[in-house]
Amino acid sequence: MIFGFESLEGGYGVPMRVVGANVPYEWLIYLIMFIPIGVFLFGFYQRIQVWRLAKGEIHRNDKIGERIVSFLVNTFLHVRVIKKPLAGWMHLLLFWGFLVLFIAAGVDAAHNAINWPHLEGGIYIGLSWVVDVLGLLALIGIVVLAVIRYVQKPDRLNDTKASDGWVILLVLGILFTGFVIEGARIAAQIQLSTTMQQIAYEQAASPIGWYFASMFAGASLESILMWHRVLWWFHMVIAFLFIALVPFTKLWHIFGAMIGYIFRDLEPSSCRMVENIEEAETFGVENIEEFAWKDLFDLDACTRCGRCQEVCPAYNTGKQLNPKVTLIQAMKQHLDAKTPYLIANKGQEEVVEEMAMTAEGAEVPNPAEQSLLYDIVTPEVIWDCTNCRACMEVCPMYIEHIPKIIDMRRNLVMWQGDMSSEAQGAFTNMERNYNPWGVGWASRAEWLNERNVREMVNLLPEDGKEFEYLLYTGCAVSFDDRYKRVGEALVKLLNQAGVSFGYLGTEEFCCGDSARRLGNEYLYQTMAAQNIETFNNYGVKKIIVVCPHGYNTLKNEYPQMGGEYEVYHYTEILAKLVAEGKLKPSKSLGAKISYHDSCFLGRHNGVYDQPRNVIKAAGGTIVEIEKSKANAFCCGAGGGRMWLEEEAVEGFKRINDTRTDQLLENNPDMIVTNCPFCMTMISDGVKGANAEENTKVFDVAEVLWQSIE
Amino acid sequence: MAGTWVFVDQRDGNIRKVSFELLSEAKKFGEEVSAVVFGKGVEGLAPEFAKYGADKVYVADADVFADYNTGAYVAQIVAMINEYSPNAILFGHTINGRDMASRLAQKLDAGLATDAIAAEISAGKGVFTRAIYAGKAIAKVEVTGSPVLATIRAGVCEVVEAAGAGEVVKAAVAATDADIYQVAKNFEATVSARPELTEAENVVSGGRGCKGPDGIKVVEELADLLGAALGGSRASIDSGWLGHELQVGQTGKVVNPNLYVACGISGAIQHLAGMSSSKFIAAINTDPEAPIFSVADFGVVGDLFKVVPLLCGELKK
Repeated sequence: MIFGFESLEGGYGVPMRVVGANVPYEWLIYLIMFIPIGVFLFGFYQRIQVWRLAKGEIHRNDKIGERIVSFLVNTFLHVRVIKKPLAGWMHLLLFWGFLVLFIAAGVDAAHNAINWPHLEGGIYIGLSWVVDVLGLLALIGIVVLAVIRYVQKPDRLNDTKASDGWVILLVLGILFTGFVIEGARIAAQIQLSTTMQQIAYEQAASPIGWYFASMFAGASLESILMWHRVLWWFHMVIAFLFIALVPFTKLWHIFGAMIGYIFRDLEPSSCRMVENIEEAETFGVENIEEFAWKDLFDLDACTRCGRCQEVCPAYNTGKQLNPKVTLIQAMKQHLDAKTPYLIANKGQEEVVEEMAMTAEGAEVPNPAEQSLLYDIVTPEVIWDCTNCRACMEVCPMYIEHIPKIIDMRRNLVMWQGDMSSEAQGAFTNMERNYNPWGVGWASRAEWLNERNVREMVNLLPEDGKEFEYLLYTGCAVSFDDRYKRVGEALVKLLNQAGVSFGYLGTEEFCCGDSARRLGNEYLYQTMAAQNIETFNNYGVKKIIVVCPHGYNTLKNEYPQMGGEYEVYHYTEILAKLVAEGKLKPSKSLGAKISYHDSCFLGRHNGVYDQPRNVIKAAGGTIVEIEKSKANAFCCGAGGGRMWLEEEAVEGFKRINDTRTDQLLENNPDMIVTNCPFCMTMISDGVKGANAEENTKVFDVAEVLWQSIE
Repeated sequence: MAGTWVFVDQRDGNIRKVSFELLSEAKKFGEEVSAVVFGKGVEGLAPEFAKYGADKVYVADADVFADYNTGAYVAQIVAMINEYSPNAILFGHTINGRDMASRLAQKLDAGLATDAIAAEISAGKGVFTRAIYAGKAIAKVEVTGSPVLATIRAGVCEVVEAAGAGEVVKAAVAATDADIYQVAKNFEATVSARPELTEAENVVSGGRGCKGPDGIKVVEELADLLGAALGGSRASIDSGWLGHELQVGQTGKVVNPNLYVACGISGAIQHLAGMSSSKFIAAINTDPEAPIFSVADFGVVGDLFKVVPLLCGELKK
């Protein structure tokens, strides 16, 4: 071993990295490194043990190809992380810099130990340059991220903890000392070289290190070598500390993300199916260990980036629900506290009791006895969610918030019997009259006569003619006077375009979306089974659905019960008919329009363009508001909240009023929606804002019909 | 066997009308009829039940029964059933009745008919009539097992005065504080001279068209002249013109009075869901297209500030 940077044999003639020099006992790291690796593996194993406690069932071993692609593009290209541009790109720089530096350090270590791989000449200069520059970018990344957290302080990072600062300092320390060490090495090499010519290649190979070398200008060789030795050990210690800390701190997200990208939910947006509900002995999730392994895994993966909080309609209107703090992190802390009890419980009950006894004296409540639903998450939080999917759309870890909420609602409703009287009323209405409003089921087809379109409709139970599409109107067209007009417009449009369609009338049942999302899986399955049986009796192959809630349910959820059909939202059909020239708008609306993306058509199903194309064809000018398409803000009625009262929180407006204000921003002539629930909520908002005179609320179908009629 | 029991729904000595309805109904079966009343200082209520034909009045009087609570009430009635073995027990289909009857059925593993609109009980058999499919069809259900349990909808049975012996039987108190799982710490009644919204024969409601507290006053005057309960759509509740407890609709109270007068309410589906089963609906609205007119039996297209005072003037005459 060389204890200095004396020139190698043949001088510095061949450009290459001098490794392992100047540090006595540097070989010790080859032994010491097993400590952090051991700690890391132990921590990793512990996490696996925790996920294995999960009793819930979930299958994530299909679609291997898609999973690999998801892993690659999310990990190496950060496709979702960079959707928040500044923080995202900085994180991407940090990720690549850290990854490449880690590999480079490994190469150096291997070279030092077994002299392989041996990089010299142009290859050394080129690769070294890449590593050096990426290291600088990583340094810039972590500094900007620290500035965002501590200077800019966006609301989404409102729960910054001391550990966040320590992690930043650790990363910063590793990167910075790395460069100082490199600088010291280069400074020493310069002093040891007989001519500058001998070492000039380092300026090309390590431009950043070269800059850091100037810090040592004028220092004695001895002091440079001393600094180099001390910092080298310090660098190794904190780098090893980093590795050891990964499974125990937020650094876990490195692996949490990569594993999550593989096992994320790839199914179309849907609630998880409860199989064999007739035989079920419990319903939903009452205790944290009853979740599926992916749910517990999700809790570990969360880095508290707060993107979910930023977009959550409940949080933004002052509700108890904050997907980051009061949902995921609350459960994460509970899981951590309860883990020892759960692991002990795998062996025997008495141990838990013993542990509970010891915990009794303490002031902290015994986690084994705390109720997930009442003490940890609370019913308020569970009921606040509108299932709008904004959180799941932005989460860089693909955490599945909605399924957890639904699982807890299932327990509250089907097991505890604890729900609001409004929810109870809606369930009773669906049970007795197959629609949540509770209007008599026998009058379900009466709207055809009221709106004078009976002649245009092939009412299957009476007319029984052949048809290509089933028109599934859903409850609103049947019972909501306002939305009956949308049904009328749609029927006239389909009729004009010569589409062959049938309608079930009184044989149509509510799709069950509200029941399911309010946690009444039993009622949902009853409705769904009945509808599927009716569809099959009539030999239905293709379905046009009016309400986006029904659309999502029929398209993505009925297949879970064997109901496989080609399902279209009516805006998809209208867009197609317009494009094919089967519907020709004859007059232009010439109206300025704010378009509201409903959550279940937009985020849940990705239908953004077709409704816009229809509006444009009708001569409407859409002025896009900031929160549109995937970023659209919920109207407040999703997830069954249509049937629950929303109390406005002091200092905030209701969700529908908040959304209406956004839609009214550009003083549009019309607000156009595609969903009956949104229609109700936004119409109410417009009235509340006293904007009725100038801004009318219409549905996409009405807008098109106005331009054709 | 000890005939039919009617469980009395009362609070602070105020007896719900449904209890008298049930006594009158039970009287028709020709068996012994008893009123069962739990509470604190309720013994004095006994003569009230005798007026409607109660042969016996079982009283359980103790602090533990001061306010309705599921645990203590069920524990008490289970003990009394074991001692006196009634054939059947009828409850009003009220919040307390529903709560207690379902818990009791579970405890006794007995059959329970809920929300019945008529009853026939003889020789320990109970046949109950229930409306299904929102009243489109009638089902008769027989409850097997003993005792027969049922909750009966309020307002469907006639109150008939009939003298009964009204012999007071003091039941041994079998419930203790340990049976109480929940304690109501505070009870605040909204003081109103008007009838309670869900029980009122007439309801007058004001909506967005009232434009403010002044408009509500106009509507209030009409309510008082009709002896009606006052209600509102969400718009008037939201604006703070009316208290939250007065909201009629999907997410508020569901009412079915004989007369419902909607003033300045357009009748969005969420409101209609709470009142469209009213027997006679009158609507006043400026917009002839308002959906409220599609359910109204009588409609006036006009400004409520003009129409309602005219109506009040006529009523005063």
